[in-house]
Amino acid sequence: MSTAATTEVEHHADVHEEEDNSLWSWLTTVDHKRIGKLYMFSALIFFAMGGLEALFIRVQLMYPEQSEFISAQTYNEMFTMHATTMVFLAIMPLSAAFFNFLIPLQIGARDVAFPRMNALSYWLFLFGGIFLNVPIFLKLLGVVGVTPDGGWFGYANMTLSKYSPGMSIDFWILGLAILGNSSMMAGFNFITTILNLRAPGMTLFRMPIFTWMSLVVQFLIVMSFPMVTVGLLLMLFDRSFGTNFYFPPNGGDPLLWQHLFWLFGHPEVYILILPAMGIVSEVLPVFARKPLFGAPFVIFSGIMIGFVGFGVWSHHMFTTGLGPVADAAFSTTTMLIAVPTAVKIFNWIATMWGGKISFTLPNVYAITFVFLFTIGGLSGVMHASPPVDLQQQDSYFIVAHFHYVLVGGALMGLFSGITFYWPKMYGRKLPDGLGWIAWALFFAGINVTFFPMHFLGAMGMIRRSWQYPAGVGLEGYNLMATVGAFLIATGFAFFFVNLIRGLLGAGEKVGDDPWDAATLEWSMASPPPHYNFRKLPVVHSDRPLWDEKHEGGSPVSQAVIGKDAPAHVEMPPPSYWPLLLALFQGGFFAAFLIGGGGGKFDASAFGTQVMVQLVMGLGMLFTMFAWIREDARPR
Amino acid sequence: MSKSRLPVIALLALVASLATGCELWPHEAGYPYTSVDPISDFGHATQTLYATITYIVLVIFVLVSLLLAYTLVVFRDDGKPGNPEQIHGNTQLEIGWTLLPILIVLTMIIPTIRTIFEIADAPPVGGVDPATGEVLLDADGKPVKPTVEVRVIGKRWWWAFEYVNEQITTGNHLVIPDDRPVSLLITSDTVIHSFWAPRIGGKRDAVPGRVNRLWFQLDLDVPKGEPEHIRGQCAEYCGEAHSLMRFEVLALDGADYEQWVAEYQAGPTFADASVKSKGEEAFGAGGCTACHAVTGNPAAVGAIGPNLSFFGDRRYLGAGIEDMYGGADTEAVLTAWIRHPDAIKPGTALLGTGGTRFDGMVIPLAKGDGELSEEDLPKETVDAIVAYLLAQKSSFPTPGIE
Repeated sequence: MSTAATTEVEHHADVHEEEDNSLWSWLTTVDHKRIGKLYMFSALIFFAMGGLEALFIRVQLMYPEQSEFISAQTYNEMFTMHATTMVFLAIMPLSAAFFNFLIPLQIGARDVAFPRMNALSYWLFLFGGIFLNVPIFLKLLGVVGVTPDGGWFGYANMTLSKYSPGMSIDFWILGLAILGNSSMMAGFNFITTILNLRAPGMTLFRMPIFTWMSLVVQFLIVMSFPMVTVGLLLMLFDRSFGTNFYFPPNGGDPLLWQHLFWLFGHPEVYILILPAMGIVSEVLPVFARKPLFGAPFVIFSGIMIGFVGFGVWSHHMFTTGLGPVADAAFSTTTMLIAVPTAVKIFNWIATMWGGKISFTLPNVYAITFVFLFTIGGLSGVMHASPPVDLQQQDSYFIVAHFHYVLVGGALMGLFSGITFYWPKMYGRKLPDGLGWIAWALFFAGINVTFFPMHFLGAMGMIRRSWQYPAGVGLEGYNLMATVGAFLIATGFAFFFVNLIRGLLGAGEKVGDDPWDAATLEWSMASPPPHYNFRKLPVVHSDRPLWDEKHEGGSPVSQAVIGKDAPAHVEMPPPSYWPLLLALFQGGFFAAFLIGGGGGKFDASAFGTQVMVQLVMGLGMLFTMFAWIREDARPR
Repeated sequence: MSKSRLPVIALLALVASLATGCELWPHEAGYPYTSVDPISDFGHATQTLYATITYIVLVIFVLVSLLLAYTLVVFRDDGKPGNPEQIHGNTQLEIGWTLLPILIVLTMIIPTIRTIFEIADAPPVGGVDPATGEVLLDADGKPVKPTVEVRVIGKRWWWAFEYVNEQITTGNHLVIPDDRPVSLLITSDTVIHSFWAPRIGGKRDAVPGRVNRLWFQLDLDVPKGEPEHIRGQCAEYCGEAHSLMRFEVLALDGADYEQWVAEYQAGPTFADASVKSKGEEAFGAGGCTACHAVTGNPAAVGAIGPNLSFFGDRRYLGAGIEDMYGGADTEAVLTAWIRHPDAIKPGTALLGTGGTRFDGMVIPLAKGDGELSEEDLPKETVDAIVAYLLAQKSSFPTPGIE
């Protein structure tokens, strides 16, 4: 038998792996790539819901003093759920899709460190997301009168039972607690994965930038979520059991909530943007055909952003009267964050400088990120100055700022990632035509919607306002923003349809490495076999695949090294315990609503709550025991 | 080729539209809520900084955009074979563009901190030195006018203004002099609100359990007898009617202000005594007195709702939201409000339905729907209340009232 024939057989065995696509296989999967895809499509569906809520907001604000479209109460519910959905159920899980799909591929691992826990994170996220949206359906059915209406920031004391009776805020608190649980587990999982499962020779500074940014994000998650969890628990106690942490008449302080919330809330901003920055740092070099300029500076900038990100939370509170010393300190730290951010932008431009830039769809999304994020970053510097912030805080200027950062920034970066990694996920490129129309609509829509909001803010239009007065100069820009919102919505429709077409088999079939990229995730078949690497590569540089292809470096691609690999690769078996545990845990949380919900402690229902929670708790214990006893050894 | 130029064309189009289509500083003329055309020393201190930082940021934006555009055009793929030079970095260059933003940021941090401490100064004490009891003199040797102190209390969803020394309380109607400092003591007895009259200056949160001070001196010379109308609003989300929690501010000439204080302390006078007697009776019969106070009406001492003394001075209804003199029949507007305030301002009337959810307005006689029908409150009673309220005018009504 000749060598060439052997290679052929091995390679084909890699590509034509028969995949079990039954529903059961998806429910019990522990494969990080499948979980990544689940995260991606769940997030995109939640994104569509959040977008629909945004359209309600924009239609209401199309004309001044409009009162026929939706009521003030409904409007408040819309912006609350829009923000909560976009932050926790769209952008975070869309980032998590890439953590899941990419990190093991990028570091040369066959799965994450705790595959079953990874599945549990996903199911908890899904149940938490559904749980948060349950009140909307209950309201549509007429069961409850209000859905969560406290804003995504849920400022106490308005969210306490005196001002927000009913179960809406409890749904919000418990939903966020479940989501926090999911994120924490994922955070520890990825930290362990990145620190322990790197392929031989993959030193920390040979890791791809996306993995680096993900590592920073995981640390931000595990350090910031506990703070909001504590804050949420205190709020739940205040609401259900009459404690007084945030209730001023009895000595509580509503600003305590603001501190706890923003201690989480500001690192959260970097949790949303750093993964997109990581993706852009992968995409721009590939299409400039150069390495990332000054990779260590980009890495340290990311670490710096994460670190300083914990010291800036009070810039959300400049108007609460913290005093000049605190204002000056937090203003300085906030402005200093502009430095590592600027370094990144300069490094991205320097990466393209002297390169051969090809304007493929993923690259244009990445360039869009750089441009729009610059606008959002610069307007952010403006309200880092407390005296200026006194005029901008809670006005539409802030709305303009963070939509440039999160839509123009995070979302464009993530869309760059979807179009860039789609061939790796499905073995085909996304069809180009619709993709370009979607991009053009996004780019136009984002600017038409959010740029006028800077001016609306300067003209004194307040945020979270159901109506604005006529004849004070706000009409034109509001109408413009509404038109823009529909452009974005149309863009997303095209984008989503394009993904569905891709799933149904449209698009050009591609090989292992369609973009001529540099890192390990492109070194195996597309889509990757469930074990990723038939043989683990030995890494000698930060661009192992590029070096193999263009510099005569030692081979890492599976097509070359896979041929003398062992015939059998051991992988963890599927498990249904994560799904079961998530169900019991979700039920345990939800049961809080039986006795303590609605802002008052109901002694008669408390018995039922205890019984239900006992059942759910025993279920959890049993599931955990079974989980431990399960033979999950790779085989 | 056309694809490779797309982003460049889009970028140029955006820059062009920004340069031509938009007015950077909306001035007062058509924009009464503008945050960039201040009329007080406090507002000017922040505005100077606002403008400085805006111009720095705009210059950076233009430079970075040009650099990006240049890079994209010049280094686009020319289709020639071979890879570009593989440059991994340049330490000097990178240290350079780390230091450059630090320097730029410093140019913003230094004036920022100076302004923070400048606007955080304690307000002047007032006309008399508390230590010696002597009258303080200004640079010209004239006695210093005492600082006007006003407690600002955020309610759901309206504002109470309590003049500390003058013993005057107004609802949603703040009157200030142009010739002496004004010091606002901002707090809340409900949820967190934020006091924002953008032309006076930046906002301050009204936090229950805390008092935040904001003080300023108007640098506007208001002509005698011609009050300047300034608008304000609540900026912090505070529940259902958050967007409908505004207030009107009147800036008066110094002498006018003193006359205004005297008139408000004395209480409203009525040209027609029957309007007063009928009105007071109806005000009691309608249940209004439980929540609203009117100076000179011994029965009307309620403090749950806005003080309605000199209601005829106010142009806007329902916490600055409905212009009563905007063309429609003023009496009809006010009647509609009394009959069914919830229809104009959602959330106002619901307190009667359970007592805990809202700190809004109680409608004592209303049924569950919050509407007062003819049976609940006869037409004559409402007409008398309307006449009683609108008749209470001082010499300084808000401009726009005929």
